[in-house]
Amino acid sequence: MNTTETAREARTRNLARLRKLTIGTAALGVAATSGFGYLAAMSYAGTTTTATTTAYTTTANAATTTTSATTSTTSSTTSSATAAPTVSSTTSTAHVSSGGS
Amino acid sequence: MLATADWRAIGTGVRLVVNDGDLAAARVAVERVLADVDLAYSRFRPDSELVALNAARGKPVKVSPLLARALVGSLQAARSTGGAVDPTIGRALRITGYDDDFDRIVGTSRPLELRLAPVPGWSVIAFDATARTVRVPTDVELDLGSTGKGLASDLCSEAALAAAGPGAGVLVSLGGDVAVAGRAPDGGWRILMAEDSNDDPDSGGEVVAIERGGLATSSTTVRQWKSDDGVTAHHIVDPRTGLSAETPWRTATVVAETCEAANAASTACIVLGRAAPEWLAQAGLPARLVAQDGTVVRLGGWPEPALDDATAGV
Repeated sequence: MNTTETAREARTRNLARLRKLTIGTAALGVAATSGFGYLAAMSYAGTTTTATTTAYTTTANAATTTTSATTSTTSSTTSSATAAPTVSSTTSTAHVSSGGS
Repeated sequence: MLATADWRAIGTGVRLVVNDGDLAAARVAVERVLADVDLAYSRFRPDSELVALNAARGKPVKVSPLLARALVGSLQAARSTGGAVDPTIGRALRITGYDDDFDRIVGTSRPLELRLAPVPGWSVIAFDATARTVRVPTDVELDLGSTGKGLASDLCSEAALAAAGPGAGVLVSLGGDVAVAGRAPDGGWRILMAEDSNDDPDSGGEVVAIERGGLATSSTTVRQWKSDDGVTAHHIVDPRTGLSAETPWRTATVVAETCEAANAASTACIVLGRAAPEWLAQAGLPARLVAQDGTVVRLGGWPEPALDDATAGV
């Protein structure tokens, strides 16, 4: 067995071990200092100086949290506040492509 | 009537399609948003707010509303994905070799010293949304590339719609992260499922349509590079290892209420790997996953292709 193979095997072992860890477990050793509060109707008016700058408003609801650092990657769920848009298939020509970039 | 413009910005391809509206005005609005985004949270621009925040060495920093909004999105994504999408991957990305605009690092070859270590984790970020102050510990670097790009598409579509005029509809794609707003054309906004977002939309294959919301694709096959000893890396970091994610999926496409949410979910699918279908079912999001061998898995109401000869692995 040469050195390269040994290093590769060690890396594989370490990867397997790390993947068993949850994100939260990995974060437990770090102070959980996040405390972002409720944020609503945050307005962003752009930073350009032109008079025609378009103002737009985005709304984000970030629930107050003290940060749970024990969330498991595999058992977590997402909060989908509203139903996802419907996707349909078509034979028509596409307007755009979506893939890697 | 549809009008289209294509150009490059923030290191990726931009496509703007306007339905019955003022394309020129919409493009100006999109360019303005992208300039703001670049200044707020580019990781490669020395004068960006994010670079300054990453260099603040643990001191509280007051951030702009736009960067605050982007941070909120990244933290929400981290929570909703159980940390599979994590903004504290910045340092890992840099060590992995993604330390410059991708247009400049692609095709290069250099030594990389990969480090197998979990990223610090999003919970180390102290963010006061009311005061808009953020504290990032020393040696932690943020990267908002995933949710930030989706958010940029959403913001661009909103701005483009406002500029395009009454009754218009718009589609904005930033490297395949698609946000639509306003009145869709008959049959919806049609999107080709491609390996590469630069592929010609006319090139044939599976096409889907949406009327609202966003669609995003994450892929390990396009934005990748090699070290000088032949190690291939890509831009999706597994927060558990700090390395490019090893995953059974080569692409993951998700539709959601916003492009920001779609991008968070598609990135999470790559990182979660085999656990992605279960997570998607809980999230209730339509998704199309392409395995490394080309097998396509359609979930959450994603339709079968309308074309008999649709290329299954594309």
